[in-house]
Amino acid sequence: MNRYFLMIALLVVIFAIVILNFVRKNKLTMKYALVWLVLSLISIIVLIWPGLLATISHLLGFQTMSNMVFLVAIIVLITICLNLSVIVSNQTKKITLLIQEVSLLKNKLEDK
Amino acid sequence: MKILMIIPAYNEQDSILGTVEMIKEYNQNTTMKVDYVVINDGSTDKTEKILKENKLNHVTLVHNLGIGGAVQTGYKYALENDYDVAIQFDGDGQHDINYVPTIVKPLENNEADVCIGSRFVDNTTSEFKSTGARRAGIKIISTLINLFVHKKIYDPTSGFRAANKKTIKYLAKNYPTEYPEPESIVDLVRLGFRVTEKPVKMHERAGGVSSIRAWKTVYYMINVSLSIIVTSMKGKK
Repeated sequence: MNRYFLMIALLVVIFAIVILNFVRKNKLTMKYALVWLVLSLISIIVLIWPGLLATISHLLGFQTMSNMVFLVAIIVLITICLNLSVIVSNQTKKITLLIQEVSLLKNKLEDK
Repeated sequence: MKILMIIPAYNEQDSILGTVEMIKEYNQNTTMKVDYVVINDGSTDKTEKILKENKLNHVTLVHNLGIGGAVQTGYKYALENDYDVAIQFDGDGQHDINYVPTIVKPLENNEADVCIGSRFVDNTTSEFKSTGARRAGIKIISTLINLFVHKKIYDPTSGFRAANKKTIKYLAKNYPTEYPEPESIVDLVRLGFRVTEKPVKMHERAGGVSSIRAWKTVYYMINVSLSIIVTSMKGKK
């Protein structure tokens, strides 16, 4: 294991600590922290056991290991982003409903 | 028959009072009596102050929702207060109250569930028909609707429309948010609501800005076209 691998491992650990700190400070709920923590864990496993990646990328016929890593990373990030778009749309709906109901209630109260 | 005028207002301080006065005056001169509710969509100007000082019936949204969310609030109000007919009526003086009976009649006679006040059904009624470019856009939207739900609607962007009880109930729960007029037509036609059009006269707005501004036109057309296509493909509930 060379110096670069150690450096990346350190970055991943810091990343995980930052995520956990967000949860501790109530800035992030565990539900949404989990996906990032799982990604960190996978990164650590891959760093400790680089042969795994090499074998998989060879089996799948990638020219280089980095090609496979980039492709997988992009797919994972797009999936997460899409998921967040769906969540945002859902929340917008809920907020709209809340604003409407609260406003109608206020109108009712003022009438009396 | 209980009729409600839903008046969405966003920063309409110059025209809102005139619009409501017009309704009150109209009630004195005809046998048809209509109630109204102004939906103040989180205006940042003096709209709220004017509504309060003149004791106009209004619901003030605690945060700006945009035209769709505002109009839907009106339908919710109509549903809660058991109205038979709800009419969308702009607060900017664009719509003409004298045409209320025209668009209510098809609902009264149970010939339709929704009636749209249209500028384009025939060529004589409305002297104000909007600019050439906008008319071209409306034509494209009209063609798309015809293509996807097989229903000829000449003025799909018209915000002057009447809905019966059954439709009020549906719209109170399901109303598009961003540019709701064409999309809601497609949604209603798709579900088997009877949508019809009657010719009305419209005026140029007295104050305020159209919710469709020039630089947003391209975005508007793409958004509305896709909405029409996607909505037409939703399954039956």
